[in-house]
Amino acid sequence: MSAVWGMTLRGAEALRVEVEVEMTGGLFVMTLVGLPDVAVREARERVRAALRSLDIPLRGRIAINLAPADIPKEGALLDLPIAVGLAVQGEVIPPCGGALFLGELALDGRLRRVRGAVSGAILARDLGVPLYLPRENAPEVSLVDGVEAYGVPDLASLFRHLRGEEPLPSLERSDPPEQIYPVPEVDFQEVKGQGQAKRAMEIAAAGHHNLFMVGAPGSGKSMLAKALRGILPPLSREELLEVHRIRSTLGLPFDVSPLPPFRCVHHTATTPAVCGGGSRLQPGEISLAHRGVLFLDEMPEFRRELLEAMRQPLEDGCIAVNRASGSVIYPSRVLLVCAANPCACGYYGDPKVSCRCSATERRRYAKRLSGPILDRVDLHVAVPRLTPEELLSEEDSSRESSAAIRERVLAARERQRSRWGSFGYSCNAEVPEKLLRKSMQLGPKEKAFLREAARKHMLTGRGMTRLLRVVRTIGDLAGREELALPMFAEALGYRKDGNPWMNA
Amino acid sequence: MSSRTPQELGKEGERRARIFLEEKGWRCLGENLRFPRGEIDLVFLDLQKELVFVEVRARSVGILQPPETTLGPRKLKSLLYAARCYVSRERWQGYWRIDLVTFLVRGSSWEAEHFEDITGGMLS
Repeated sequence: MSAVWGMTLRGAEALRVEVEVEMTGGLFVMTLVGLPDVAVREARERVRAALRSLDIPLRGRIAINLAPADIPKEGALLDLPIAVGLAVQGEVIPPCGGALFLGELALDGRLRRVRGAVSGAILARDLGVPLYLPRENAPEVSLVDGVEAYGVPDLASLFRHLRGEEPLPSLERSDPPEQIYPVPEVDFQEVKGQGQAKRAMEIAAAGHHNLFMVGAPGSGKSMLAKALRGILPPLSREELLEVHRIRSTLGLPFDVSPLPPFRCVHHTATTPAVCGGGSRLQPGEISLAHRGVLFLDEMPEFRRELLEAMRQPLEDGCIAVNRASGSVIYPSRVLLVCAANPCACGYYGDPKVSCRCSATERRRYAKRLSGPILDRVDLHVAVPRLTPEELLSEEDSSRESSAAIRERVLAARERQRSRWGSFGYSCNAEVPEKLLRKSMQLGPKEKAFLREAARKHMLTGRGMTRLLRVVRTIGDLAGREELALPMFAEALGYRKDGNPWMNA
Repeated sequence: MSSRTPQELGKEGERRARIFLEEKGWRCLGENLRFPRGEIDLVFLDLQKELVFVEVRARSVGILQPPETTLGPRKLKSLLYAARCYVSRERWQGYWRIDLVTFLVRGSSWEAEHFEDITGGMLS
């Protein structure tokens, strides 16, 4: 009996699977037990063909057991451990107990890319064993610290390595490249007017605060959202690992740049597509946008059920996907950016164009956005239609470029990291209120201001916390540790009550 | 030569198949073994000491189908059954398989072809 380890995915988590192989005399037959799904059951044909390509014939009765027997196994990544188990049992290679193998086999013995390599690397590190995986997966795994990993091109070279004939090179840990910014799709320099929205974007990027833009059609909401992408601070190594762990679960291509994810969701999206689900408990868009931006354009058009489902993950930073097949927790710390028109015709509140909606229609439109969701948004900002003068204004060098804004954002994020890093937080939006209050000494003037604001705007407990977080970020952007009254006033201006359009 | 009856053709095929495999160094253990639900033309022990049951098929040219296509699923099933009977009767512990040897008869020339492990591709 020989034991070789493989893995199966449960959400983003890798579970160790022990592959046991028994061969006895008789007519050739291969049975596979241990709740394999169709892809795993079909592994028999791939494994047999791959071994045959190395002149290793399979004979007799072969029983393959995937332990633990009560966990469903999924995916083609068990091909490699099965092939290795068979080769060990057939004494083609020496026993190699205590190694994790993952990979899909081609019929000629090559290894194909698999889903979940990052989770596998984390599992191998926790088990303290070497990891063998397809060479195409190697770049993802190089992000994980302290794992002895080998990128394997094909079965033959793996067997040569395990026999000690021709060792494979171990993968080096690689750092994500520093600060390589591609030219953003939209530079802030190209955005005309919209000073307030630009400032709100800067605050959102610096502190990872949710943002809601209201404005007439064509006023530049989507353009601003695209421009936001160019000023987001790059991800740290740990954050990048979190992001790629989720991406690799879905088998999405690996991208080495440390840019935060930017996921744009269309309003026809279903709840499982955004929040996660399906029979394989896949992560949804909100988890794919973890540590980055989730952009919901035309927010009132989204199905209400979907918006309500996003309440809890937005607050807690993680989402539990519970289905009959099991339950998984995915991270969902997103910067939510939403855009909406002020009313159905789009011109309510416009100084020139008159709105054609009746009061009832306006109320119905505004009602599509529930209070609890809007309460989770820190920055509400109006994006008005541009005046003809603004529209025709030439390229203006006095307008700030994305690069200049990004520099301030990076400096502000650096202040946050140095302040909260020892507590395990990286930006203001994550910090719990208790810690936040302890760090900001409120003078009597500020306290009176907040009391007045809370009374006048009916601030909820959460509203107050979020207000304080925004104040903190404004302070960080100004490069100052102590907070002044104008910062409180600015932050309050971004609350939803400060926005007349949403009070329709 | 076309005057040969199918029975004669089959007998001659088995004789030639035995010679054909013995020339490869295999050892013959039995011929024409009958079981309640199937029979085995030849039983051999190959060079790796693996037990091999051999089915022999011979066909003369003129019939469109090549001989290997004449082995249907029902015949395969009865072959498997007979082979299992033999294995349990002889208390054989090692590996075993079923091979097919075909002959294409062209006048006086017999073209032999050997198919190894014909049930191997069938996974339960």
